Amino acid sequence: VKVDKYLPLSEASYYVLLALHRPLHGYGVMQEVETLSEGTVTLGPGTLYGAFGSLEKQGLIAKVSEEERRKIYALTPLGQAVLAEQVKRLELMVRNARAVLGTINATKGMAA
Amino acid sequence: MSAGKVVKWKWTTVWNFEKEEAWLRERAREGLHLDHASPWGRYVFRRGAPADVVYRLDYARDAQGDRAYVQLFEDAGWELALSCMGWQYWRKAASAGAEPQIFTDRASRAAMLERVRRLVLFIAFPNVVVAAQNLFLQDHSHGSFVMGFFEGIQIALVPLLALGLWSVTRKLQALRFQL
Repeated sequence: VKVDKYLPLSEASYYVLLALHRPLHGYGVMQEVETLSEGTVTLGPGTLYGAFGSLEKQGLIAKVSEEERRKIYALTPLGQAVLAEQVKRLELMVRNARAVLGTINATKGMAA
Repeated sequence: MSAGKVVKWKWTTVWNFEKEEAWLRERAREGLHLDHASPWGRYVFRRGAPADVVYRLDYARDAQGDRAYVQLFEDAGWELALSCMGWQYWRKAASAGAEPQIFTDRASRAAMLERVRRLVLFIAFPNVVVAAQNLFLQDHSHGSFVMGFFEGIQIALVPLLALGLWSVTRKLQALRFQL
């Protein structure tokens, strides 16, 4: 599957996909994201409604059922693949940063 | 008009919706809570206890009839104060120190501004065509005063809409520059 064109995900999209590892409705996603991100990412309802719309259009999430007036979404196989690739890239970014910053800190240590 | 209702007139433009949000919040602090309004600037308020209530406007024509859209906002603690020609007026009590937002990232804020920009373009385009036709193509020697009056208003709208387009485009560029 070609996932490159969906990457990099915005912080909002990334956390929405992460929250949808199990089916949830909108408010459930808001709460899950708040918890997962330790309060660093808050999703307003306007932002989340737009994210649902575009992620559904891209085929990364799909509506699985409806409870009263709430749509319940879940990741599609494509969404899972995109999320997995994003996580791989983030891990590489963190490893890179640790390596570079570790070298800088070690050099500073020698100079002192 | 019942006793608890207060009518206020205010000139607003779609590209200055943040000013309208701030104005509605000031009214709420005076105890005037939005009840309904008309597109030509007539606002009807319900008199109640003064409160710090934040208003946020969303221009979303597609969402207007979507029950899931309204439910999502309500679940997040927002109340739909008014729905008018694609504009949704949301409000929420401001908790101490916090400024509740319906759009929480630059991308979604930019998407909303882009919808407003398209609205201004949509209004402006036929206006420019008709105004140009009135100015350059018509024989003005036989025009009535009434026709002249309406044509005058029509032509005056062109620079106003141009100002609106410039204003919303500038806001969009400022947002995108930060991305």
